[in-house]
Amino acid sequence: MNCYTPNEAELRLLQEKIATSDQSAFRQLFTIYSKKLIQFAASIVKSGDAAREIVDEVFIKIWRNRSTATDIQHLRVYLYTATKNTALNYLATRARENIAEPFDFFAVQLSDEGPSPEKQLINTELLRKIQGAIEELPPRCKMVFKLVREDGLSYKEVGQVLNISPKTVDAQMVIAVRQISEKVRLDFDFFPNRNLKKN
Amino acid sequence: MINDRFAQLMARKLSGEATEDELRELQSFLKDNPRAHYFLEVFTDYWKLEPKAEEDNIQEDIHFQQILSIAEKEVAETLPVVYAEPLPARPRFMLARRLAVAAIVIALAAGGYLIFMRKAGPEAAPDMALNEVVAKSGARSYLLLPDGSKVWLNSESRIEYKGNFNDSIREVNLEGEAFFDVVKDKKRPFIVHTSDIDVRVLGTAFNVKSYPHEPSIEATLIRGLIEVTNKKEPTSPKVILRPHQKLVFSKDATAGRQKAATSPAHRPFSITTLPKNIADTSVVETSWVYNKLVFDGESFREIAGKMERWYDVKILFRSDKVADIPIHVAFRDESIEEALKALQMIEPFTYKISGNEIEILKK
Repeated sequence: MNCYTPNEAELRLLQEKIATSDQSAFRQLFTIYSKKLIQFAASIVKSGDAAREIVDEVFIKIWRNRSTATDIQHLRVYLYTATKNTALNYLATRARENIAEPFDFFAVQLSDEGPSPEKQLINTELLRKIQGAIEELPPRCKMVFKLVREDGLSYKEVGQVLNISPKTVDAQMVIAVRQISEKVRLDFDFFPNRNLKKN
Repeated sequence: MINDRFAQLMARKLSGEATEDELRELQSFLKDNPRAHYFLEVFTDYWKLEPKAEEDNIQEDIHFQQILSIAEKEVAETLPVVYAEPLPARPRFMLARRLAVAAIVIALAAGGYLIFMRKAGPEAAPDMALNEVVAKSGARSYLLLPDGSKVWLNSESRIEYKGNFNDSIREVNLEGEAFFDVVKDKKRPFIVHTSDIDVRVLGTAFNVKSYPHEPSIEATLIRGLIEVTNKKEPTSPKVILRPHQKLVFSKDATAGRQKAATSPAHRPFSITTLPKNIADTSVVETSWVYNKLVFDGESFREIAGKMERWYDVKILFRSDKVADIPIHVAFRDESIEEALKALQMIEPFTYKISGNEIEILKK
């Protein structure tokens, strides 16, 4: 179970250990990233089974080439990009599915989350509104938002993985935030101190 | 609508991209726009929410070991991804997309692990272990056989094979429905045994459907060539299927009663040819492999059986009129409720869900 995003130094350390055939370091990497990568792959190939296959291939390849693991410049980007490429290859061999431009048809899966137990602003109702707003984001925007917020990628990393510029990433984030706040805003208008208006 | 720049600054702050200057700008914006605080707080709280923890550690352990062993195996050519994903006898969730943990998983996986660790050459002990993989109601399972052939099991299906396909033959026993993508091996024929028929593979990708409670067994060929034998009458002529042909074997057929047979009297087989230019994924018989459920004019009552297996529910019809409606629809990842709502758009009806029983009523 992992909501943990390692920083650069920690990743670097893992890489070095993996290069020395350290299985538990490899295991850690797997634990941290496999679920996220599977979600990412699933949004491209739209199948959980295929997504698992794809992510397996990525990790198998890493271990096979572990002696050169430290050659990878940016492990996080590598993981997502390798997953993306493997997923696209998978689609290409199933070209009969007639997908013109896979990135326009993301079926992005968001993680399941619950309101945090401590007292704060977000109750279940509001959370559902937010999640609903995110669900309705255009596919590419949704993918960007998910990668930034859930997966913890930087704008630059998202750009590298999706092959778009960081400025585009930034613009997509603006769209996402605006659309979400639009949904949330209605809630604000019903804030306790105001007069309730029927919708 | 909130201010664009505010949205931009907020996003950058939350994602950690904001510079010092931008943070300051955000602060002063908030000072001049107190209502904006609300948005920032909501977003900040949302941002910090964590995905529900998943407790699949043992399953992950096993999976990880398999990855290691595959990576270590010496290979001449590139291996397709190799793992058997056994499902336990009792899944924790009804619609088992998650794999629950059970002792049986460890046992099977240990067997699986051993298979792939085995190096070429004389074995220490003969592997007579019968491996069994089961897909429960509502779940589908993917597995890889020792020779690299791929199998997708539909829900409520079971497949058995000897741990190590032997030198002269590759055999599996199937109960339920599975889609096979078989690795070519001229020296070792691949045979699928079902209750009444054997399917011998001379080529590659095909689907076999043989549920115990259904009156017929179906085999659909997508690529390659398969030969089907009637186990009850092994001397009768075998049937060879070509791509995009589907064979239906009627279990009850006796000499007197046969479906549209393609040749003389006793054959309980009938063969139809499927339209050739449809993608695998839309061919009704194999669409489930791609996680699509496709219905093409069957009545609601007829598809209820498939839906019951797919969603792990029971469907009861209280209106014949509704039950007889022909349905043309394709489902992918919808929940049962979404599916019912979609069906309501085809013909109005109402439904009641209690637990996992669904009643279909006239509108």
